[in-house]
Amino acid sequence: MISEHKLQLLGAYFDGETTPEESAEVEGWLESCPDSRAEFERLGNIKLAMATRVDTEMQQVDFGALWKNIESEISKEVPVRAPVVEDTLEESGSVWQKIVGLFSGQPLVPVGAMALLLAAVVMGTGDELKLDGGDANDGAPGTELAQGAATSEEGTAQENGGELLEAQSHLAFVSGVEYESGTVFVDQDMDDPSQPLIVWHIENEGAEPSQGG
Amino acid sequence: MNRKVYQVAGLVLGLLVLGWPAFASAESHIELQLIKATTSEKPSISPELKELAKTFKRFPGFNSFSLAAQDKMKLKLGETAEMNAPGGKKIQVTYRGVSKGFVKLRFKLGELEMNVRVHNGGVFFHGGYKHDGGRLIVAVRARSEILGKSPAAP
Repeated sequence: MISEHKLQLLGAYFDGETTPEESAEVEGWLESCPDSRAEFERLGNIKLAMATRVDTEMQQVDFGALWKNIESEISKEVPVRAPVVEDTLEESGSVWQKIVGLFSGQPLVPVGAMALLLAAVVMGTGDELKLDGGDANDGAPGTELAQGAATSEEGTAQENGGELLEAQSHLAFVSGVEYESGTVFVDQDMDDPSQPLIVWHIENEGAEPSQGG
Repeated sequence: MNRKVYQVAGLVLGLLVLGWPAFASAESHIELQLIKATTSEKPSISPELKELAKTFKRFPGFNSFSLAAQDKMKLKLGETAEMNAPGGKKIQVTYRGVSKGFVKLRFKLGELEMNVRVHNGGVFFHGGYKHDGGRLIVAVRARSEILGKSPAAP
């Protein structure tokens, strides 16, 4: 039986987060303690399994098409504005545009954007990804994901068409997601958590939603 | 002692009998809006969608948003409403009750199904499939009677 202290330190060592003294302590265990070695191997297997899964998912994503869309976003010189409704289509705060904006002008754009995209995209596999403390009853067979955002419950005032409306909470959580193909991802504007949740389902068409055709 | 137990049990039973029909009959108000997002030379947003304009900033690449269809419905617990979407797809929304100020729904569009808990009176979006040179966005707003009225309720 391995102690809690050892477990924590082994995990930290595995992630490269230990101090030199702690590292020396862990290395001592690995030499002398079979249980510690077994735990360390188990951590390695977990990491390997995760890496394999990411590799598999990456093979299923048409990064060529995605990158084409990133490039077209980057090449846009002026953000589109709507003359009909003023100040409604100014600079976007979406996850997708942030990914694009973050890397524009950087030499490692494709790799960086892909890495971030991978983090943002929830692939259609059977593992559970829970980001909130959703109801246990909400679970359903198949892929599960949940996404939430903090938002003001008290409600503030915002101007809308000349009238003052009480701000509405659009906090939402998603779980029990089931789909056969394509890619699902959840977009929550972190700069404005009162913004509604957007669940994208991009079917196998080799394109990202950033293009209208 | 026994008498007290019977009194409490009777009270609980009475409350259940009186309260359950009100709970069971409480309906949720669902509003579905099908929005067509396109890119055009003259950007525009349908007047009916003005309230959602702020959210449209998060649909990059599109500058025109028009209301393709909308429907309002009342659902009892466990009931499912259906709406036809372009391209032969169907949108289904099932009311699954309330929990801690949230309305619980099961949402289905095409081959995607998911549970959504949305704050009472709040809205969530589904975006994705291509339609007529653009993409179709579904806005779903939900409010439950049992949770009371909400400022942005339909």
